[in-house]
Amino acid sequence: MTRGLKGLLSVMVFLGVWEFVSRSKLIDPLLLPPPSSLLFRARVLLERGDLLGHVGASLFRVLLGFIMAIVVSFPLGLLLGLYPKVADYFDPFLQLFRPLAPPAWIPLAILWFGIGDRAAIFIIFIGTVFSMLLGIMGATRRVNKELVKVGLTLGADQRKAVFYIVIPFIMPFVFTQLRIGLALAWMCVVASEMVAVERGIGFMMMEARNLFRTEDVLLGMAIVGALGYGLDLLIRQIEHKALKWTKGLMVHELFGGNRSL
Amino acid sequence: MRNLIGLFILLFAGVSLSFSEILIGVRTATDHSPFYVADKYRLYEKEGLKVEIRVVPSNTEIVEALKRRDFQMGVFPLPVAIAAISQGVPIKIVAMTGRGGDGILVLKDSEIRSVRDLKGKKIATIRASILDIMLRYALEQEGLVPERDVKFLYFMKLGDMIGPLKTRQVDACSHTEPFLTEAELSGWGRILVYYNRYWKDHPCCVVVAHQDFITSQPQNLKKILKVHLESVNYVNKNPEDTAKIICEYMKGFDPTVVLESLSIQRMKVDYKINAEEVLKMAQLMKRYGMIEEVPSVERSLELRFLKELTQR
Repeated sequence: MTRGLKGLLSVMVFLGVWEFVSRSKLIDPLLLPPPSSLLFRARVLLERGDLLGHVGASLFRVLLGFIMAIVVSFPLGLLLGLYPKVADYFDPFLQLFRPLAPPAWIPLAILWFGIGDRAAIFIIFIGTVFSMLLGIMGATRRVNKELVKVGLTLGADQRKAVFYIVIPFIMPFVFTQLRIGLALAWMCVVASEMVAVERGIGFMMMEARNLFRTEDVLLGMAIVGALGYGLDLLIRQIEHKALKWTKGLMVHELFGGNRSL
Repeated sequence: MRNLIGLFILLFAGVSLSFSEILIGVRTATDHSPFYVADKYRLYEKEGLKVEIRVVPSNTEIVEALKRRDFQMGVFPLPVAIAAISQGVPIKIVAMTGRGGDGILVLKDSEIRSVRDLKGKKIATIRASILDIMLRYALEQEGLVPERDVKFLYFMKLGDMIGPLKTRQVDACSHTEPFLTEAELSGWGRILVYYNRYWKDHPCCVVVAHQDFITSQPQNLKKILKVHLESVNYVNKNPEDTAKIICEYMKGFDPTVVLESLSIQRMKVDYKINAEEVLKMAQLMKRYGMIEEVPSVERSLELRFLKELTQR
């Protein structure tokens, strides 16, 4: 059985069990509506033309906030990883802001960026950037200096050593950070869209909650999960292509067969 | 072993005890004051009842607790009750608790002088709430088309709308007491209109009971409603004391502000409710796309207990 089939099978079994416990009222359908009712609501919302608008708005905010976080965290993480003395100046701010939950930024985001997309994108950015920054900084610090020394001995200058040794070395870790950051971005988008926006999955879920449409709340969660999964697959595909050189070098190939993570 | 059995008996007794207690979910709102008064003066105990008034942050949480049967009764705005009933939550409205008390707030120096001036403006509200419904209704009564003529910006909580109004990110907000009075008395806000102008004494918060509670404990429900009638009368006759009690629950508000907000022109604390106003609200909700069908009166209301008490 292929990897995809195994995953599909487990999802089908899960949905079947869920449908059964809800339909047979082992769990009150008011508390847990069956998955078939989610499909019905998805069709209604699609026909009404609402669903694609919500999905599009959320996708736009997630991608923009996430790309901004990459643009800031990658060079800064690299810099702070290479120059610990510079990192010492940044460290208090990183430790201070990192533990703050994204919803804590909502009042300030509205004050600084106004209501609407910009505030929502800021919340996604701030919710993802610190985690990715620390990950990239940590990965850079763990680059084996002997590799760089060899490069320098063979005539590379510092710039070339960074571009041809350090960056390729940290790329597997960077891809892991991207996947973590993307998941965080989806977590933030739901929170950010609960304030002063007219569209988005978070808005749809808030409205559904106010009107006790549990199906729509679950549908929103399922859509966020599916979109997150789809984008994660995309990153994995890019990783697979970009990091072909790691093939044959990974420990999991020794234990679990030859395939990407 | 005997100790273990004893422990089980104790635990079971504890669970049984908690089941015998009636839990009523309320929020911090001026028209929930009859429940604060009843709690403060132990009116339930005088009826031989063990009632706990549980203050919950939002209406949806009260409904969710009712769904799970964690609460037997709850207090929240009529549209919340209608939306829950239309989604099959087995609850019924058994009495009213507040009327009016909501309107449109603008900055004191705002150029907006009438509801018609709101055309083309940004208005903050809470989606699918009584504030949303009454705002749309008021706009319609003034000849505006809500979705076309104004831009709605939706927030989660009442407090969240004040900052954007003060910083002029929105032009107006649909708000409620005592925030409206506080904004006016503090000098930065102006109440453009109370929705009472468009629907006099429109229903706001209602008392609901879970169907299981209505069926299994009708006598206790009747006693709770008896206390409700008494405490509504107390609130209306003793606004000064009520304002102080409200402030014990709504931290951060000044009793003078709350007292002013309780004045009859601004809002009304009441227990009477009729089917026509419930239907009217449900029809508005359907028109604004908040419910798909209007639930029947039989499904929504259980007024025989209130009738029995008021006919005495």
